[in-house]
Amino acid sequence: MRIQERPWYPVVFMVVLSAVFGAAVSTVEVLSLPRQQAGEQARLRARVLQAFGVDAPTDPVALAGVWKARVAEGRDEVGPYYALRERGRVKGYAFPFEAPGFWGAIFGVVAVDDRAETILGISFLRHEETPGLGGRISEAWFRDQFRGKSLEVRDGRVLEFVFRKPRGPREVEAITGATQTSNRLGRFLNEFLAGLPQRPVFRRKGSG
Amino acid sequence: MRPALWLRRSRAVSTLRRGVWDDNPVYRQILGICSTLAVTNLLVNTVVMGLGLIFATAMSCWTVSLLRNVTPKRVRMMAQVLIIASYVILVDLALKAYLPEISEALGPYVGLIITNCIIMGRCEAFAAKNPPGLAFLDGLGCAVGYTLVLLAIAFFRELLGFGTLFGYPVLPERVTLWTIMAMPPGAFFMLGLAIWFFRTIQKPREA
Repeated sequence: MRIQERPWYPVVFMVVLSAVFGAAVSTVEVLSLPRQQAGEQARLRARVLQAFGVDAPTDPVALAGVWKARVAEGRDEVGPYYALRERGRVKGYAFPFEAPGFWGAIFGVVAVDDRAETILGISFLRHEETPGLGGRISEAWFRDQFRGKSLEVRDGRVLEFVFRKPRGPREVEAITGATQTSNRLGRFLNEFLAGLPQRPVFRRKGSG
Repeated sequence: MRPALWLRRSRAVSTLRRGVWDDNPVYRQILGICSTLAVTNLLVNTVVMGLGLIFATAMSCWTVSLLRNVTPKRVRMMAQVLIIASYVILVDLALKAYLPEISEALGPYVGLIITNCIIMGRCEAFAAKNPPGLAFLDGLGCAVGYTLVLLAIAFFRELLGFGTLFGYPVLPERVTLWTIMAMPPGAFFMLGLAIWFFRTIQKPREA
């Protein structure tokens, strides 16, 4: 009887094959893990700086330098935040958020000034929106509209998302063809932005 | 000696050509349609997806062929899926570590290469019965054939849907972009046209 015809042979074959390939894949995974994590961290940092309106260098070493010199990571009772320093004082705070999108969650960062009065900027880390439609939220023309907008709440809203050229100072042009992405993100941002001035990090500052 | 070498070489060439042209997986076998529809809205995504598939298919076919004489018949499909999955995960890890932006744009579709019928099909139909060198070429040919059709589709989808090629604007501002090309239905129309186009120009060969 050839070895291949023995009843235990398929079992042994699969076990050995799984062990060999499993070991190979695990080795590569472990070896590339530091690189993956570094990439992820650099991405987050670049996006936080982008929200603050600070040019993020593409070189990882330069990026780490800018980050160390200007950004402090903190956490209040609600969640984590990033503080941007400029000439010895805090210029603003950035808050990560997770908004509902059309296909999945939209992860982003929104930065506001140190008194929670105006928006410094917004950036998006990860989303699953349709490329060319909802995916356009990460394009500069869309993000740049948020810069300098007031955080004042009027009629229960901070911003108005409109499907035409914006006219008022509170209006942001939504994305035509991506109504669901625009509406869901808009609804979430209105609620999120309205709540920001109540964040403990601002209260502490006011009382101290 | 000489005829044998020539014969082998011509078999290699015909194996390659069959995958790329005569028996192209997309427009002749209608395989790998899921990813054809999903990743063809931008050329960059398509190129990376194509390279990933080329690597995974060629290497899987080579490995399956290498183990063909020791693989028990009853568990051969399990073994093939294991081999394919390992190579695909390697591609996924490499993308995450070196091309994080593209890895994100491709989302779950890299992982889904595992279930791409082209790889399993080639392993089962060719690699399990042929020597490793030829199996490698067969996998390579089919994956290149797949990639070329995808690039053709992506070229028109990106051009008409975004007005760009590889991200560079090529159409003047006043051209109205075809939003549908950026969406999944646009892929269906383009795929249908591609299948019709390639089968039409192929006809003389069949006769």
